[in-house]
Amino acid sequence: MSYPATASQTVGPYFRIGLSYLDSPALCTNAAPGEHITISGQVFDADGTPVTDGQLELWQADDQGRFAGYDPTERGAVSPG
Amino acid sequence: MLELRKPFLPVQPGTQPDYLHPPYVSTILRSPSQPLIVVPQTLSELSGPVFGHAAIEKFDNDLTHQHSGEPMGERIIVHGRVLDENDRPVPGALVEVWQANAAGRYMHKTDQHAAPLDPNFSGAGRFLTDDEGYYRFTSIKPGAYPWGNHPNAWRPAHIHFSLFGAGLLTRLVTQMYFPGDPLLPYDPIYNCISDEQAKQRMISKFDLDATIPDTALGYRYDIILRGRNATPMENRK
Repeated sequence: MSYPATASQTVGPYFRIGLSYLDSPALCTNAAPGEHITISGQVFDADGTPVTDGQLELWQADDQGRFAGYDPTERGAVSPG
Repeated sequence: MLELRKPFLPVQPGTQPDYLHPPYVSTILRSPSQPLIVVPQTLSELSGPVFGHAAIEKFDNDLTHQHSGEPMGERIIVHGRVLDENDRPVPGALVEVWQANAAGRYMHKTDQHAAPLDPNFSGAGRFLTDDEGYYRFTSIKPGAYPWGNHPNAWRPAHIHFSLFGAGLLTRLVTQMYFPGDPLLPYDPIYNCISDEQAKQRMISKFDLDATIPDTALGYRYDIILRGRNATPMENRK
């Protein structure tokens, strides 16, 4: 018997998601192929106040359009970095 | 790889928190004021992100042995399975937990609640599900704590869970509650879900079989992540 997905609940004000080992402003090493870019911005709440403890999680393909763990061409590994 | 092109099932109405639930005051500003636009699922959401699993350390699944001494409070074992909506186990899911100590205080600089910190309890752990989607960790039962939502507001005892399954659209951040907690009927975070069964599934079950004699009470908490549709999306190159 299957159920619908478990309901989500707020991360709470005291969140400490354990992915701290991934905390890094650099998604690639200097050696990674492709054009290196920097993205910056600000996060605001609905009052327009800057959010000072927000955590952003992001992931992307490499310069060949390949995601780590999935290679649509099945030809090789994703570039390191 | 065909599996990774199958889109995730739509969310069933009422089984997730309402964006706007006025008794939960934060949702008034936090909720969208315009209708949502459903964007098509693309390969990036269907296949990732993939996390390295190397960062799990020895006592990350035992929150009672992360310091030199033992934490205060009632020791508990929490265990269960992570399944998808097709009733299949989710192996290798990264499960992260964080919680208050037995006095209802988080080891976090923002928490200034007048309850004692416990030098032997950090309240955070992480682990992976096994091939059958099973997980198990040891901790202490967290205390209830007050919050500023309304006069005399108290959060029921809970453990925060974050799960990374097969793709970002299965990402789940939720809270596990304890059976019989008298604060649940008063908690607007628990009650912002309209489907009664969906709420009940966030409450763990007392599990005598998982209880270790003279040591720790057992609780069972099974978690369901979004499942995939049976039909793969077209392979667009």
